[in-house]
Amino acid sequence: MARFASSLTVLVFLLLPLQTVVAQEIGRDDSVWSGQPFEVVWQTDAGRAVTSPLQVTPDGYLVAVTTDRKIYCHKVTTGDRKWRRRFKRDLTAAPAVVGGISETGFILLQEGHGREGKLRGLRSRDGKDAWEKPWGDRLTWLEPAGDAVLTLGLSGTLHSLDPVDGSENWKLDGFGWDAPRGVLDGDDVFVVARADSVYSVDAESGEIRWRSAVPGRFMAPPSKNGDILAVTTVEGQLYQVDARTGEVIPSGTRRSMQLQPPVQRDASVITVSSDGWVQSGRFLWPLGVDEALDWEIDLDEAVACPAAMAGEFVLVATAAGRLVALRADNGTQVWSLELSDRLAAAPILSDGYLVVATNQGDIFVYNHD
Amino acid sequence: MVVWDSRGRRSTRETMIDARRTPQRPFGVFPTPVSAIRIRLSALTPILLLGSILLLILAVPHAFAQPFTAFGKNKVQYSTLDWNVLESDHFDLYYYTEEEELARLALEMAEESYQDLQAKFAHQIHRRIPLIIYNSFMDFEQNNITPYFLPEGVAGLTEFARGRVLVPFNGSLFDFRTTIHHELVHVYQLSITAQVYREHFKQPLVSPPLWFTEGLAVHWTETRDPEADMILRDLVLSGGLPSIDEFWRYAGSYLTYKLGQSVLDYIGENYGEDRIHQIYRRLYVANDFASVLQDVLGVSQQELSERWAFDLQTRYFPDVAKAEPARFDSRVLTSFGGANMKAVPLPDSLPGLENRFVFLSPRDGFTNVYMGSRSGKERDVEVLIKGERSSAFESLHLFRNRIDMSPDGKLLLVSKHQNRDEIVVYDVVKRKESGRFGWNHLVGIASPSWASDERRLVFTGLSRDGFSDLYLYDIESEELRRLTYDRYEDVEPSFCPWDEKIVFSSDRAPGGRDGVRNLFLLDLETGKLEHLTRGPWVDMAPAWEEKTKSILFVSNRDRFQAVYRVDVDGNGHRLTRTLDGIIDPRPLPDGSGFLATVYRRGQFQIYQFDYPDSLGESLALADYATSAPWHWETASPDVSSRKAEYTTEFSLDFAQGGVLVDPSLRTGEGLQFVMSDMMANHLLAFDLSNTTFSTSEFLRNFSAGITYFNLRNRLNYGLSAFHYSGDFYDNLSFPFFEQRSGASVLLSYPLSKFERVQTSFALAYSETDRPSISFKRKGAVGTHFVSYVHDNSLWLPTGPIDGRRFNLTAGLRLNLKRGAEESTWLLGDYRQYFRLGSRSAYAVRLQGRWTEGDNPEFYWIGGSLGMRTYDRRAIAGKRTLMLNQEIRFPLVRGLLLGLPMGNIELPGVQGALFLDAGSGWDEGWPPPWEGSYGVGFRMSFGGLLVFRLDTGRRTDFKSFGKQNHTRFYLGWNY
Repeated sequence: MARFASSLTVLVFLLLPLQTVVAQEIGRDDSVWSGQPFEVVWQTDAGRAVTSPLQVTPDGYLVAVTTDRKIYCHKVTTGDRKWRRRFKRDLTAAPAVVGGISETGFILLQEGHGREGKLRGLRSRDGKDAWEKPWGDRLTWLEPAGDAVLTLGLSGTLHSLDPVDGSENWKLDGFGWDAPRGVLDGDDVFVVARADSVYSVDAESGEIRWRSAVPGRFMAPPSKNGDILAVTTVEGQLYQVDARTGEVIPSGTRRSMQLQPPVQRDASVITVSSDGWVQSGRFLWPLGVDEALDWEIDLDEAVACPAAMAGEFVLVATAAGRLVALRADNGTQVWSLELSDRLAAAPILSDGYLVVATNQGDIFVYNHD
Repeated sequence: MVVWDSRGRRSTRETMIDARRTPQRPFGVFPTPVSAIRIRLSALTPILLLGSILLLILAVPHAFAQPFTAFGKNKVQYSTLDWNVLESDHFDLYYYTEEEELARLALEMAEESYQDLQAKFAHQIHRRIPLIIYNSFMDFEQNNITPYFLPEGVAGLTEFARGRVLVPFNGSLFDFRTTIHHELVHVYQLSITAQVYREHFKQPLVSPPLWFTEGLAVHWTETRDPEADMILRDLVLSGGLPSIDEFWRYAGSYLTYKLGQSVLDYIGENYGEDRIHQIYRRLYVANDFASVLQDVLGVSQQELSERWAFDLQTRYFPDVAKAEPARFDSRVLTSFGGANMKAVPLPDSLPGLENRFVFLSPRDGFTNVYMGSRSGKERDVEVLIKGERSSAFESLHLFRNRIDMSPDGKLLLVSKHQNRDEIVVYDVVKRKESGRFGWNHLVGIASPSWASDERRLVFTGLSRDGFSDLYLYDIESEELRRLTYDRYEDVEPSFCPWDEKIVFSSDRAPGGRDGVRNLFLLDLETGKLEHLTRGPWVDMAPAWEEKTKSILFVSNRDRFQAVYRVDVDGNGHRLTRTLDGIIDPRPLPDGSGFLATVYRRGQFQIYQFDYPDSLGESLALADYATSAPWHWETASPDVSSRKAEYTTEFSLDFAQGGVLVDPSLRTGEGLQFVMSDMMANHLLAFDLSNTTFSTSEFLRNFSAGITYFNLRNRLNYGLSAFHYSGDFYDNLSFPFFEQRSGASVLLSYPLSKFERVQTSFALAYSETDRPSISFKRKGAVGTHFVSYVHDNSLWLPTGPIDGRRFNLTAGLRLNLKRGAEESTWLLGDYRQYFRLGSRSAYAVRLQGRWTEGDNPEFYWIGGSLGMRTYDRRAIAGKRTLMLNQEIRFPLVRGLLLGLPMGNIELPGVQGALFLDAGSGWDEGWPPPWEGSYGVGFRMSFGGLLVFRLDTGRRTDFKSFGKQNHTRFYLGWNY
């Protein structure tokens, strides 16, 4: 604890969307995070804020983008830098890594937007260009999907691209301006349009499997647990959607200004409002709802990045620079860490390691003893 | 000072203050058509503070308090406030002893707002927020944090330098809460903007425009109210609704707030409230705000503007079928200037004053009391009382006061006088003041009303501990009786002419904590207090009507601000159904109608209405169910707060440094910084500089000084220690060396806002070598100056246009070693501005300077700021005398250059005809006189950036020169 306390100035937690984190854990028991993380495995100074979601590849590399137009690739377990590269223009969104950091892997990212925008395919082994093509629509989401990469632009157009050369596999329009990023689960992409609809799209063909009307405005992507999608509107309405059929069931009202995706654990849906209220309620199966909350906690601080599940705990980073671990079943606070600055990129759990990036640009990876 | 142009818009001088006017109090004490001013001071505040105190001349003179400078008005600290601190989780609240209850309540409100805004902005503020509250506007305007004078109607402000939030309490809990919330929106805006640019490693190129920042503050504080409806309806139906890219024209006016609020309402409804904070989060993505808007909303600013305008048209065009313009059923009595209000008719029984009315107006830049004739528009308008020029009528509180008239022609009004408000009785027949009443325990007085016996009057008083109540004063017995004693705000009382009853507007109505106001009747004989009107809206400005034994009042109950009439039982009818908002109705003596102020085309003018033949919809008190009154809140004991003592801790306000290198002359380098405490009552200024020819001369040319200023009390003083050394140039550009080390004391005592006495004493060891006059001295010297300054001038952006200012200074320097006078000075500068029109004046300056002694000063009077066709030092001497005369007039309102890349709008041009005479000499009398005459042109780009071009010829008053001399310079008119 003392060592941890002494290094509180910088912690880096990376949080991928919940399901991705779960999928990437390998052989580590996340219940180890019941205690406060205390060992710094490695740290680095990225220079500037990390505001885009962090990526950890299946082969254990951390890819991070900073606001001073750099991209970093580090080995998560050791911190060894694989490569680093700087660009001339802003990098718009978190890059997508396909095929790991390997001889055959690619990293797709967008540099600049509008007339100067370029979509670049980098060789993941060294970060050098494999190809580039003009791309004006500012991307808000890039996600590897099998052998392809899904992209969502500000215009609300969803593309599937071949990472080898950037060619288009398919595209879908109509998700509204600045729609939230989607969530990928196997062959399905679940996307909420900015206002009024949830879609299920076949990631391979681009075919719309179903579309369901959901009233409200969306800023956060849905989250998926099993066959249930949890969707929150800005106004605080919570819906559960059957991922197979698109059936929508209103599931109660949470605090307004739901700007981050909910997280799910078993039948519980945990939401975090922008003013720091963490609320947990239960989805019933078959689809139904128990509108009463199981618990709610007021962190009394703004929250500006997604929460993450770590085993039985939900990790929430506040805009005041505090990382809090709550028991998912009852909301009890297990530990709390004071960080030097806020996190805009959510903490990420990978193979038992917690990776955190602050808005001062420091990246820390913690191990738990 | 405020200057209104003929279209009723404030001059660009006002744009230095980012303001929003009181929703509650523009033209009466209650919700009326203009919103609250909440000021944001720019980051230039410390620079200007430094300038106004240290530089003495180059700061913006008229709008800032100038304790130690040649001219300028004074911000007088009538009260010495003992500050305390209350700390909560996120705030340090500063309050003074009388207001602890209010402080706790303010803290609770602030924390509540903090939570709300934390969610809306999804942002955490990483510092404690200083919140400073005042018990009254009187105390608020004395603050030293803002060097500006605060215009009437300022409801609060947030300053950029240290993020301090200043909020005065005016008696209304609703106003207080609203203002705190509004200002905290600004705090969040500043914080999130700084964070976004810091995180994205960019220079803050894009700052949201004023309409957006103020509009958002209103949008997230208030719901759209009938006042906003009135203003927007007027713009839409008159065809004057600007597009968003034209909003900058209204910067600094109340329209900025209402237009901004409307656009933000539209964005919230149609694009989502979450988009609003996204706009801040994406300020970095583009080089202009319009592009940021497009990035977030997905539509161009132009398209947004069109859609918003269409939305307003959809809302307001149908109103044309429901109501008519006010002018269809009335006569317009005023049209000059943009704000004529508070009209009260004179009794027809006064000889020679039949058919007259009295009103308040800032039509010439000063708020005055006028009298006009009801027989036509702008007929026989004359000034009765000149306001804002003297201590006796320092402020007439245009926005929050009503006036009243007795049957024998005694006008009742309120004016600020020194440290309190006073009720003034003005005899309209005799044209003179016949009485004045004030009470030290009442910091604010408003809306006095005569009783029928003309011996008593009722008014609203704001006590030092923040209670706004009704008071009854008997002029003969001098008895002051408090009629209400609670935390509710009771305003606009009107005394019944035939009964011992008083009607007034109050927030004691159910819903009062959320802004509801209804009318109440107080029976003086029984003490009974009961509803006259009831309902979730604002009823205000009641006035008794003797003929029908009823009460006229204004209500916004159906989104239109209309006139109603009720009897003492609360039954009545609507009288007007106009598209234009109406305020302050006052019945005519013959009972045929009433006078009122009408808002139309962005102006407030006085109309005379006849009573309609058919009455509008009826209203009855019984229509609305009674409900329990709300209770004025006390702070929850659960609010976490800790008391702390206020300590004078300095922090840096301003620092600057510079290096200058001239290969042929010398190098120069300097550093200045200013520190102050939280209340800016204590300032520390440091300066270090060096001007040297070579490194070996470095120490010889080293200068340093430290000055402490204390502005806490009425007597401002400064203490300075200094060491100045180096080669300097005198006024005639002759070099001299001086090394001076010592200390000085500066004192400034304001006699009123317009006058002060200032003096300084300095004791120093000085080595001076002035080869040009063969003067050398080493030894101790003592210097003493004393000045008397008067300034009540009114300004345009180019310089003064009305009023008067003068400075008389005498000085003496003693050579203490020899025990003899070394130098003496006498300086006099008198300037008067005779108004010729709204933007025209005849300006006169008479300036004389005299110096004598072994080490005299030399003065010059040539140049663009003196004798205009002469070089600066062409006329110089130990004595100078100069008379400048100038007729200033507007030449061009504005210049629009149509260029291929777009239009560029330039400011207007002021013209001038000048005639100067002056002389500079060393000995004897009469001196040789020189003169110059010609024409000049001025164009102001804001602040000191006034471009001046003068061209003319010289004369010695015996012959006239044939050559034209042209001068170009920067600076205000004298």
